[in-house]
Amino acid sequence: MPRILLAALGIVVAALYPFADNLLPFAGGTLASNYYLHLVVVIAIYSVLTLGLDIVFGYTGEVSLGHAGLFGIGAYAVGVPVFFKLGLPFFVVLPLGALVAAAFGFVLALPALRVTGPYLAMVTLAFGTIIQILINEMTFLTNGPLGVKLVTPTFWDFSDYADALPFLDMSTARMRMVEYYYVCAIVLGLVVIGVNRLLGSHIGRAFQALRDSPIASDCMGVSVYRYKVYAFVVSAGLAGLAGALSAYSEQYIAPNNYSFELTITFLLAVTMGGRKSRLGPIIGAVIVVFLPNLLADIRLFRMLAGIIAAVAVVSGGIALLRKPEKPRQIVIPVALCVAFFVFSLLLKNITDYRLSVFGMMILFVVYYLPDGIYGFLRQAVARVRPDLVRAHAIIREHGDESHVWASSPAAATSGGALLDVRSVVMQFGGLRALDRVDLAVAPGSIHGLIGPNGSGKSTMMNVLTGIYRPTGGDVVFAGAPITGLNPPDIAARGVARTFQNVQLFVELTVIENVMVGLHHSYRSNLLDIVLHTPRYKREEREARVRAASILDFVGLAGLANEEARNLPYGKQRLLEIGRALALDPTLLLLDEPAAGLTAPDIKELIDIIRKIRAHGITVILIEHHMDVVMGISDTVTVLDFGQKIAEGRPAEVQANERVIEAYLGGSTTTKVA
Amino acid sequence: MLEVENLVAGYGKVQVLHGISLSVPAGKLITLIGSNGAGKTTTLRALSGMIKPTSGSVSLGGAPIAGLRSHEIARKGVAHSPEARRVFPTLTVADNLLLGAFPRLTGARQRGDVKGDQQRMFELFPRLGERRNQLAGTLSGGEQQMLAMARALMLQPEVLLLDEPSMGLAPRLVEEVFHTIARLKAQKITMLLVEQFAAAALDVADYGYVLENGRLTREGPAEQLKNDPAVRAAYLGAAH
Amino acid sequence: MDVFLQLVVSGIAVGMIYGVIAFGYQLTFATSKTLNFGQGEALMLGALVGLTVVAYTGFWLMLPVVLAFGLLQGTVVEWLGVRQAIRMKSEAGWIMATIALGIIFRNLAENIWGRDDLRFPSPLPEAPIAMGNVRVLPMEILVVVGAIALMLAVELFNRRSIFGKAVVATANDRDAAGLMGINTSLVITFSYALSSMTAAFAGVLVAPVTLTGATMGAVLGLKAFAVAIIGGLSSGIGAIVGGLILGIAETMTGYYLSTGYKDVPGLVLLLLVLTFKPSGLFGKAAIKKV
Repeated sequence: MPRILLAALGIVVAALYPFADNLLPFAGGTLASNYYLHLVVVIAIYSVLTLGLDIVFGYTGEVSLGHAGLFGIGAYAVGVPVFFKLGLPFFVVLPLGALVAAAFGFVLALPALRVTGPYLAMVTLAFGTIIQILINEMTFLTNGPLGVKLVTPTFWDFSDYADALPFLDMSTARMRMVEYYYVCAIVLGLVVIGVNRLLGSHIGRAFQALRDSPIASDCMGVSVYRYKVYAFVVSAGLAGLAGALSAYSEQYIAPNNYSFELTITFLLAVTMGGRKSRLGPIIGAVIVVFLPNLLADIRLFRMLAGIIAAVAVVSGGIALLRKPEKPRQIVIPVALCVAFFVFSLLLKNITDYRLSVFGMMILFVVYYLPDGIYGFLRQAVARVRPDLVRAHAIIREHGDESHVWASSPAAATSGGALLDVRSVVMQFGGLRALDRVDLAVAPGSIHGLIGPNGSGKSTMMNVLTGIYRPTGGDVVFAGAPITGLNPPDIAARGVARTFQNVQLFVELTVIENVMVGLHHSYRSNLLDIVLHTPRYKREEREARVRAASILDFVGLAGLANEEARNLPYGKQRLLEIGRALALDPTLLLLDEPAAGLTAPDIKELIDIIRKIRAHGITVILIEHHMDVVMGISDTVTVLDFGQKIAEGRPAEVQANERVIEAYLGGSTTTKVA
Repeated sequence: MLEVENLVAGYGKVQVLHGISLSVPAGKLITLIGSNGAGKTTTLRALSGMIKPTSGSVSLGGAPIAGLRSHEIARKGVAHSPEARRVFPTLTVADNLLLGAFPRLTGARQRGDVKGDQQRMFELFPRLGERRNQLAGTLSGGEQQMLAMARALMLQPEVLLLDEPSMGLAPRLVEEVFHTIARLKAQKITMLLVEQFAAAALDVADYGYVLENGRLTREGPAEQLKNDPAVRAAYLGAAH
Repeated sequence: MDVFLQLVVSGIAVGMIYGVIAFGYQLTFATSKTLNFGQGEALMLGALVGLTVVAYTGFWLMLPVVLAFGLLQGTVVEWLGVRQAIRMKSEAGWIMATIALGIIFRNLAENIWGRDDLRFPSPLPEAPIAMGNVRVLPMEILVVVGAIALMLAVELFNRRSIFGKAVVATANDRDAAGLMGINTSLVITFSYALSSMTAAFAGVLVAPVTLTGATMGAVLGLKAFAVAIIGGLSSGIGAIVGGLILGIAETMTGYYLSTGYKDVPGLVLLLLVLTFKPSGLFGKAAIKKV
């Protein structure tokens, strides 16, 4: 509830702000002067961009160094028509800025997002640099370094009311600014709502999933590449929208505005403000917009540095009194704050060191404030009043038995094998991990796959789920070949898996993890999400009920809104199974599900596997825990050195000489005194 | 030589070892056997410093080493021939051996006759001698295993940790590996051998420990363990 | 044809500089899978420090001072920007941190040496040598010789000395190197020191041929990254070849198109290589392991 109150308060303040000097005459008379009104407009515009940048940086976890370029594209998308004196109306060019930037973002993203991390950072940096060069050089289009002049639009003529309200400044210049302020504020409000809805939807969960575990994401049917492009394009569109707004606000655009320095400013805003929130990027925008002002006034700067140092020393002192394990982690940032204050005393003029200050702020934030100021405040509040802070939307839907399964699994083709692996070979350079292995898995059975270390079990798993493309041989599933398909496609056909090293989406809650598995059940698109159409609301509600039902099934109902990383290990494994079930699979591949589990956990696991089989889902089980595998499997296949050496019922395999030798080794040959 | 007490270790949230205690007396070959996932490799990693133990104590010749970083433990004389061998593929066989003696060449351990030791390795492992200037990455699996062991021996270690030397090798090569281990035993080198192939390991060792799900369930002189039906059950599960 | 040859020859010197900077990227990437986004600034600092020192010592005695400065600067970058991020396993961490350090260095340089471009005295006569119809500046020859000499020296170090082999071992397999008693954290710090040293060296080599100023490093670093990628971030020869390709492409573009577009081929090259062959023309594709 407090959220709605805060939002309402924000709206009231925003609506009344231009008249602040009339409402609060004791405050000095410059609260909403033209100068500050303009700064607030810039904050609103930057916020539109930083909210978009947060999608790429905070949610998908990528560093983009090209957003100043996209901002510039948006600005020139409206500037070029003005340069050619086309006289297009404002509300036509505004979306144009967003769309053109989104198009550029799309063209960039398609190749660029095939790489990640530092490669992507460099590619976006190259993009931003190229854009700036092109804008500068293509003078026939952009007027080059001379730039383009624009005029802020006006929408209503209030001059008739000037006499009725003599205490307000109704001059054209002032009204122009005030009207444009409202335009930007409204756009920002809409963007906040839209971004909020997007990130709270299944697409927002997909963005987080691909960051937390790209492999699991692909295997759950959420194509990492596709959604990274999606995120980037949305973010590019918002950057373009901001650029378009800014062109009219500044009334002049020139290529050297859209420089690397601007991109760094935006990144600083997102990192300092706080990622994965709506308020964080806005706080960040406030900071970076006011920073140059702050730096221009050395006395003000010193005062602020002093306050920060004092706060740091006090909070550091309190933290040290609690005798922490690593005092160094507290002393160093406090020392840095104090050193910064001393540094400010020594300098006569800060403006020249503006960029150094930016750089130092980035360093500080990267190491000591990874969640930004907003994140820091949230944690501080959470320590005192945990009920006021929640990082995730609480999902309250309850499940029931009838919703665990979406449908009965498809009947197997004519009684033959559900999965038919034919002579599969997997060669890595000189190593043959799988050597012409045949495997036939009967529908509705539990099929164990065992073998000593290095025998090829995990390789087989990865071939079956499309992570590796086999060097030779075929894999046929439910009558259709799946050899060489990529993981999202194989997942779509009904093959789900769990992982040997648990691959949960750690920053999502338990139920959200399962809901990522339900991604395939949504047909809603971006428009449905932003407008909260009945279709979207229905799909979301149904997904929540299904997810809750699945959690009931695997015994995790009470933990639905816990963050996945806080779960004990055994429960994390069960969650992975639940997430895999959300895919409505016909075939479930379990990769060492019992590893690291205690005896009671293992009992629970066996029960769940039996219930899964009872529903008709076929299970392939890789396990080292012999009691589990032998106790539950209908058939067991044994691999050694990438070859199948035995197959049959558990008792047969256990008594097989070759199997015993493969595990325990030949005994007689090495007798040495 | 090496005393381990109540060692608890794991990876992040996953606790693999739940408090194991064992001892490796000087000049003896001790083996740690168990099925996959039991925690054998984790044990060696915790001993050589590749991972930091959660709790417990490890002492080498009386001096505590638990929690030190791997290069510090190596300098104290613990040589580890790791799982999957991990030779340096872009360096020659000769250079791999020299790097095994890195602490001796840089003053952290007594220098002795490094070149002489290298020559001795070429004699002990003739195939390495033949390939001394070949890049280690081009060697076969069996040759890489020999190289990993020789590299570890170049440290002139107080104790040698051998991690599943038979893994991924054809039976004939496995035989060769165990012959070599037997020869090292004859030279009274202190060794802790981790193996999946219980039979071969127990044939060559003095004393053995059985590891199951992170706990030691049985120990005893190797001869005794060899004939113990519980050992087989530990690997292949109770009869079905 | 003469013009073409002239462009090629002029491109070679520039290309070798790109190659040396790219070599620096490879040094740190090999051992730590990270690189310094402020590599261009390391070059710039080397050139400016060299400019200050050269007034007192002359060119040749200035070189060891600049090399020592480079080693120090690299150590600072690793210590402040990279070490913690590696420990936190945060990729965005070292990317942002090295960018931030680069910005700080550039800003400090602007304040110390001013914003204008300065002239760096050339140690060799400025008159071009005529080889047929092609003119080569003696300094350009020094650049090529110097670059090759530096890379050879590092290669020799890696092959001959036990410390160099320890660096290669760390690059091959960090964990196994630790088992050998090699302090891999120190190796990583050293690779950063060496990387900045090569950049600083490149700075004083290129400074007499071009303009020296606080902004000289920025685009250089970016284009050299393209060259490093072509070399697969692991092959020294690849870096040289890539550098030559880029250097010549740039002189061609500058002449046949316009100087304003001179920087574009490098950037487009980066985009193309990363799109079609991210492992580089000389590198090896990595196998995913789950």
